[in-house]
Amino acid sequence: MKKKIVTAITFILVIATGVFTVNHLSHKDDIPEEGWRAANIEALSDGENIDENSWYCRQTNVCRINIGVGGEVKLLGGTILHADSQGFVTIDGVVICSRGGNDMCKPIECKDLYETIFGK
Amino acid sequence: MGRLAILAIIMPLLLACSAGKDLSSYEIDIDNKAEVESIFADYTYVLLETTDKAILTDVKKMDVSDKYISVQNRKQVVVFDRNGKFLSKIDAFGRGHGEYVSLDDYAIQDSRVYILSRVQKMINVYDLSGRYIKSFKLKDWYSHIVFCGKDTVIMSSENANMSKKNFLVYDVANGRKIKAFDPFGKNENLLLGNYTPFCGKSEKGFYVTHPFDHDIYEIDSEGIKPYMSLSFAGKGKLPSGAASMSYAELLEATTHKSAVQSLGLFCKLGNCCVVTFDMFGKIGGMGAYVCRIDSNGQCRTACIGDKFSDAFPYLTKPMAVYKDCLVSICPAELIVQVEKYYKLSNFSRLGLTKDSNYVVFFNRLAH
Repeated sequence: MKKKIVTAITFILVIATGVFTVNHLSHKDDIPEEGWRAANIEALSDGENIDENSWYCRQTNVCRINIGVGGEVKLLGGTILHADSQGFVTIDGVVICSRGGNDMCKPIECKDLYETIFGK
Repeated sequence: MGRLAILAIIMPLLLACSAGKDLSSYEIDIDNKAEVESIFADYTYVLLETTDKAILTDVKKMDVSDKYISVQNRKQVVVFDRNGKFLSKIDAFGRGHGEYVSLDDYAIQDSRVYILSRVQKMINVYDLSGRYIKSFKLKDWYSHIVFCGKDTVIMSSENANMSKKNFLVYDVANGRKIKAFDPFGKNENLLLGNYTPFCGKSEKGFYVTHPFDHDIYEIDSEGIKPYMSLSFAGKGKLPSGAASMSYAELLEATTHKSAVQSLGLFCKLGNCCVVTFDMFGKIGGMGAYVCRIDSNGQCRTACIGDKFSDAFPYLTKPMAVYKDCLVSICPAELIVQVEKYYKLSNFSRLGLTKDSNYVVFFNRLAH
C-alpha cells in the first residue's frame, strides 16, 4: 500500500513538473511588465530627444490610374499593364516622406512612374 | 511501476508537443481560380449623400459599424449614418490648437472621433459636430488605432517606433498606457501606406497581420497570439530569405512582382473563412484577390476586376469587413463609366451622375 502511495505521488510530481515546464516554455515571450518597463524607460528617453521634425520616415502608397477599359500603360523598366475590367491600373511605388525628403527619403509622384500607351 | 514511470516521462513530452499545435495552416494556390460569383452571394448598396460638405475625392480608409459609415478622405474624416445621410466632417488639418499635421488612422466610439497623428505622436478627440474636445500626447509613434473596449484602444506601429513594441493598449478615459507588447528587433522606418494591421473583428478582439508575413494573429488587450498560418504555392510567395530581410529590402524585392506583400482583410464564416490580399499582375497592376478557405482546407481565389462580372459589375477592392460582408466603396464617376461601357443603367436610372458622391457596396459572402 505504502509503495503504491509513493508511486502515485511521484507520478503526480512528474506530471506537475511537465505541465509547469510546458506553460513556462509556451509563454516565454511574456516577460514581466516590470522588465519591459525598465527597457522602455531607456528607449523612450532616447525618443523624447527626437523632435518630430527631425525624424523622417518613408511611406509608400499606391497609384490608381484611370485609363479606361482597354487602356494600357508602360511602367519604368518597360512592363506593359492592361487596364482591369473597370478601366483602372493600380501600381506600387509612390513614396511620401514625413518631411520634405532628404538623400534617404525622396518623394516620388505617381505621374513619374508610368506613361500611358493607350487610353484616356 | 515500470509502465507508470514510462507514462510519467511521456506525458510532459506529449504536452510540450501539443502546446503550439492549435494553429491552423493552409496553402493558397492562386491558380486554383474561382469566379467572384462563387465567393459572394449578392450585394446591397448605400448612396452617400451628395452635399458640398461631404463630397469624397480620395478615400484612404473606411469603417462600418451598426450606426455609422465613416471614411477617411485625404486628411478628413467624414461620417455618414447607415442610410448614407451626412452627419459630420472632421477637417482640422494644420498646426494650430486642436489640429493635426498627419491623419494616419481614426476610430469612432460613443459619438466621438479619435484621430491618430503619427507625426505628432498624438490622439485628437472631436465630437460629431466636428468640435475639438481634447488630445492625448503619446510617448511614441503609432500608425493605426482601434477600440477594444469602451475606453480602451489598441494602437500599432508596424516595426517603426522607438520603444520597439508593435502594440500599445491605452486608456483614453484617463490618458495612460496600460500595456505594450509584441517586441521587434529593428526600427524599419518604413510605413506601407496601403496597409492596416487590424484586418477583422474576432470574438475576443481583432485579427491582425504583420507586413511581409502571411500569418494571421489574434489580438486583444491582453496580448497577441498566432491564429492561422497561410502560405502560397507558387505565385504569392515572398522571396527566399525574407525572414532576415528588412522591410525596405522586401519592398524592393516584391514591388511589381507576383508576391503578396501583406494580407488584407480577414473574415470568419462558420467553419470557413475569407482572406483578401493584393498581388501584382499584368491586368490592372496590383490586383485585389479574395480567397475563400473551406473547412476541408480547400482554397479558392478570385481576382476582382480581371474580368467583367454581370452579377457584381461595380465590385472593387474591399476596404472593410462588416458582419458577413466585405465592404467596398466606389466613386460615382467609376460607376457612370462602367455603366456606359457595359450598357447598364442600375444607378443612372436612380439619377446618379459623375458629380454624385461615392456609393458603398455591402458584398455579402456566400455561406
